[in-house]
Amino acid sequence: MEWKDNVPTPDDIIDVGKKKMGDFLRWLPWITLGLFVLIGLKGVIYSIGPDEVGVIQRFGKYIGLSSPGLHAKIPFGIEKVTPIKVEKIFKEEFGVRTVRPGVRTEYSSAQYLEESLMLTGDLNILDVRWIVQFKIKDPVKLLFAVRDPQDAIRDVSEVVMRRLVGDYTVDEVLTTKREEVDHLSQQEMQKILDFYQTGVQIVTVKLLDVNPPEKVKPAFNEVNEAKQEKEKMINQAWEAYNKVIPKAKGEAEKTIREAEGYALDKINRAKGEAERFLATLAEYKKAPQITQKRLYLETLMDALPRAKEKYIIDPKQSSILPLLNLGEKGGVKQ
Amino acid sequence: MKEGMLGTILGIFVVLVILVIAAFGSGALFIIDETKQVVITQFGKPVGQPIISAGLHFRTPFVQQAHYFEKRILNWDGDPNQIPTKDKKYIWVDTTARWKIIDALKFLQSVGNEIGAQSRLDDIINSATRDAVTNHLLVDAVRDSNRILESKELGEDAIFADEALERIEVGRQQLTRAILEKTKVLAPQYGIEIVDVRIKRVNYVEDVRNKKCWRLSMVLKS
Repeated sequence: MEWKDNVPTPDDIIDVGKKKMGDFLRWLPWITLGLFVLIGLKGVIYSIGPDEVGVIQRFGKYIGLSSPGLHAKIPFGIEKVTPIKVEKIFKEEFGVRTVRPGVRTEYSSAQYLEESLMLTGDLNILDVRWIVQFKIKDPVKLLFAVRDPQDAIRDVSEVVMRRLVGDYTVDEVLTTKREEVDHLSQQEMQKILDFYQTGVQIVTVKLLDVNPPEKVKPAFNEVNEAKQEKEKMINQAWEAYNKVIPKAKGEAEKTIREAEGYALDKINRAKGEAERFLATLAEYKKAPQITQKRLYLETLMDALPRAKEKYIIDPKQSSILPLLNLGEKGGVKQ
Repeated sequence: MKEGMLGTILGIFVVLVILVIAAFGSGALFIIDETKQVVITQFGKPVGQPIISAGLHFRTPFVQQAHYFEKRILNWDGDPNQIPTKDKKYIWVDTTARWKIIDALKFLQSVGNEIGAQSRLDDIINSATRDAVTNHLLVDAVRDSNRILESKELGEDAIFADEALERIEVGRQQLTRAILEKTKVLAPQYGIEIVDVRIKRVNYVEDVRNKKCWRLSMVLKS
């Protein structure tokens, strides 16, 4: 039986097994060590993303920061690294919730009135919605100074927004003072958050929709229409005013000037007349007879040409009737 | 020979690991995180001062116990309170506060834990808020200045409720400060420091709000 020589006996098989087992036992320490190293390596190597900073704690104690890249640490919970996104800009929404951001961002149709309803300075109610953007400027403070930084940000933002809106009127918040409110609330939020040492930097605060509450809206719109109507009326009135008034004013001015000219003329004339009379008076005083005669003649010279009909009568004649048929038609004519 | 040495090294290593694990397991060695502080008690009796420095610490295992407390600033959010103002307007006032444990031992003795602390804070902050609000006009809780009244006098047209025409004497910030001062005095007995108290929301109670809306509509229409 040829093939029997090649077939190992059971003893042979056991021997081979023993030998292999021995090999394995010899390698066991190395394998164990290798496993430890593998497990160790898994906890040793860590990476920090480009927008992150790692906060390293050894036995819970803060020992430093690690920059983006691949790093090593002591494993088995001795060193702990918490990556913090320091470049990312986070957003908190008040009175609205984004459901799905995108080209056409969808907002939740639900209302968050307890967040958004607030009193204005004139004690009216407004529905104010806004967002706050912030980033982490100090990861150490963020982790170790305040337990719920996000809650702190939300609370502070509501506190500040309500306080500011409480200092403006409805109209101001709705229209002209929006940017002022944005700006002031950013500053004030930053101040309070720095005081809490949250390590958060407010990037921007923006008012979104500001509306009167639903129930008041129709009335509000009516008032706005009325206001516009008022504006329109005022403008029209001004237009009419501008058409008429300047013209009338010009005319008045002209009349006054004319009157003044006339007055001046009259006065000058009168003055001239008076002077002439005074000159005559002086002449008269020098020689009353001659002057009297001259005046008489001058007056007659002036008067006679203007008379239509002239009758020259002898003063000695007692009656004029025999001579003249007065009033008769076709009588004496010149 | 070489294998024997490796075995020894490995042996020492394993023993060390087991020792460390045992030390941690029994609680002889313990880690305090940067966010925590610890009070050590022995059979309930406090031992030494609270430990506030983070890192690795040691205590007698099985006998001493470590009580962990927060070191960071914590939140307190008040339940909205319905409070009448001095001019008899009912409003909801919602306050928020920041506080921290400054004396962990006193904290442990007087309130025990955070839930206990929150309820003590409820008591002192709510009552301080109530005192402050009932002693002032509604406008004092809303406005901070008389700016809008002044601009109204300058003739800008605005819709004003009658009670809004009152001039403020105190203002919201002062009111808040008064609440803070008052609560700050009471908090140390609990080992707590109140960092800040703020009025978050002030709103009309529901039926007044509805009336208010209606009235505003009327004012707007008239």
